[in-house]
Amino acid sequence: MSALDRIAIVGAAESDIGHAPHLSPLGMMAQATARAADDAGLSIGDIDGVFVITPYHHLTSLSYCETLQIFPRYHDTTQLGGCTFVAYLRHAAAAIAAGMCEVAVIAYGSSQRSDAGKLVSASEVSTFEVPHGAAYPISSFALIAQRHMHEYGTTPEHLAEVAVAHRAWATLTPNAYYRDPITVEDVLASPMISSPLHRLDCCAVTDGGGAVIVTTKERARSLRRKPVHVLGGAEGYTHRTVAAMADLTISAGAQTGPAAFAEAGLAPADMDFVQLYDAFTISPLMILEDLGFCAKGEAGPLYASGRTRPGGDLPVNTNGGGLSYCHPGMLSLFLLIEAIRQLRGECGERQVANAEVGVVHGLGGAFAGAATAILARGD
Amino acid sequence: MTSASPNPAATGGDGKAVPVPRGEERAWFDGAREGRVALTRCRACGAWSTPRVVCPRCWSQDVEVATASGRGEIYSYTVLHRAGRPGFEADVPYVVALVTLDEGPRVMTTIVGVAPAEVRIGCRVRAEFVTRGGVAFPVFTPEPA
Ligand SMILES: [Zn+2]
Repeated sequence: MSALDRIAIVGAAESDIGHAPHLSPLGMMAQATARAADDAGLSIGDIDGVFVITPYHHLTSLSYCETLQIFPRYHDTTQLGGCTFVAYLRHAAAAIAAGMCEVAVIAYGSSQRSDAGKLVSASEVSTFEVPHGAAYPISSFALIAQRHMHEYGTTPEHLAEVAVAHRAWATLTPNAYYRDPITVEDVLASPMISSPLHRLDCCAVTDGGGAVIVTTKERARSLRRKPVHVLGGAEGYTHRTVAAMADLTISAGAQTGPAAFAEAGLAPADMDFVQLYDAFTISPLMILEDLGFCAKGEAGPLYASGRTRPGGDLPVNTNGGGLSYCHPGMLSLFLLIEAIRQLRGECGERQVANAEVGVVHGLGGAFAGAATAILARGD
Repeated sequence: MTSASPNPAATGGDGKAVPVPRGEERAWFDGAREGRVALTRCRACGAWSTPRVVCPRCWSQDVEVATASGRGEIYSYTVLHRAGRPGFEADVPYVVALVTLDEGPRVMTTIVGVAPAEVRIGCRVRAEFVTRGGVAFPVFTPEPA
C-alpha cells in the first residue's frame, strides 16, 4: 500500500487574494489555515504536521507556527520552487503513513501585489550569470520558448492562445484578478519583454495565501467534507540554472507525469481536467506535452483548437490560472485548491461537469523542479 | 522583499552588478582576465564542466582547470526589450543567450557585435572578454562567415 493510499484531503481554502494590503504573508497563511480548518471541521490545534514555505520568511515553519501558536511534531520546509506544494502532498503522506503526524497542513502566503508588484524572491543569481543582465525568471522561460519554437514550429500565436484560453476561464471566475476577455492580437500587441514573451504572455502578480489539510482516511470519515483522494504523485528535477537544462524542450514533467499516472493506474485521457503551472505561456504547452496529453510540438495546435477552453473536452486551468486568476509568486497551492474545488463540485459557472479525477502539475524555478499529483473525488 | 542575496555584492561604475566569485568559481573569471575561457576538466574521465571540484559525470575529485577553445554555438537566445537588471537600461535591446561550448558545457552569456534581429539558433560564436568593476568575464560574438 502506497503512502498516498493512507491519506485524504479534508480541508482547503484561500486567504483573501488578488490585492490584499490588509494582510501580511503570515497573515494570509494564518487566515487561510483558519478557513481550511473550518472547512474540514477541525481545530487549528489539531494540526501536528506543517508543510510550509514562503520567500518572505527564512525559517518559514517557525514563523508560521509562532503566529498560530501551534507546536507540531513534524516540520517540512522543502523548497523545490513553485511546485513545492504539490510535492508536499507526498511528503505529508509519507509522514502520516509513518505515524509522525496525523493532521498535516500545507500552507503559503505572499503579499507580492501589495509590495508594489515586484516579484519577491529570495533567489540568488548564479555567479556566472550575474554579468549578463537576464531578467528572472522571464528570460529563462523565454530561452525555453525560443528553443521550442525552433525545434517544433511553435509560434507566437500558439503562445498567445494559452493566455487567451486561460482568460476565457477567468471570465467565469468571480474573484479572478483579470476577467476581461483578450484575443491573440491583444497578446501579440502587448509590449515585448524578453522575446518571444510579451507582457500578456506573463502571469498576474497578486497577493494570495492558501492552505490544504490532509489526514488519514480513517480520520477523514468523521469529518465534515467529502474527502479528496490522491491516486498518484511524483516529484523530480532536471537542473537549477537554465543553462544546465539538458534539453530546453523537455522538463522534469516528462518523468513525474508518467510516474504519477502509473501509480494511479490511469492515463491522460482519463482526466476530467488539468490544473497546471502557467506563469508564462510556454509552460502549459511543455507540460501538456511532457505529461503525455499530446506529442512534442502539438500543444500549440491543441490550444488553438479550443479544446482547453470552457466547453472543451480538455479543461485546463479552470479558474484562469496564474495568467489570469492569481499568481502570488509560488502558484501550485492554488492549482491544488482549484482541483479540490472542482472535485467537490463547488465551481459554479466554471464547474466541469461530473469532475471525478484530475491532474495537478507544478513546476519550480525555470522548469527546474516538477511535481505531479492525480486527485480524485472520494466517497 | 529585499533579500540578503549572496550575489552580487557590488556594482561596477556603470551601475551593473559585478559577480563575487568564491573558491573554485574564481577560475572562470581569472581565466577571462587572461583572455581564456577556463573550465574544469576531469583527469579520470575527460569530461569538461563549468568550474567544479567534483566531476559531474564520474564524480572523481581528480579535476583540473583547463583552457577551452572559446568557441561554441548558440543553443537559444532571448532579446531583452526591458532591462533585466539594474544598469542595463541603455543596452536595450540586448541579447542573452545559452551557448553550447565545443567542449560540451553550456553557459549563459551576452551576444555582442551583431544586431539582435540577426541572431539565430545554431550560429557559431567565439569568446570576447569584458571587464566590469575589476572582474573579467566572457561574452560571445558571431564567428566571421
Ligand atoms: Zn569525470
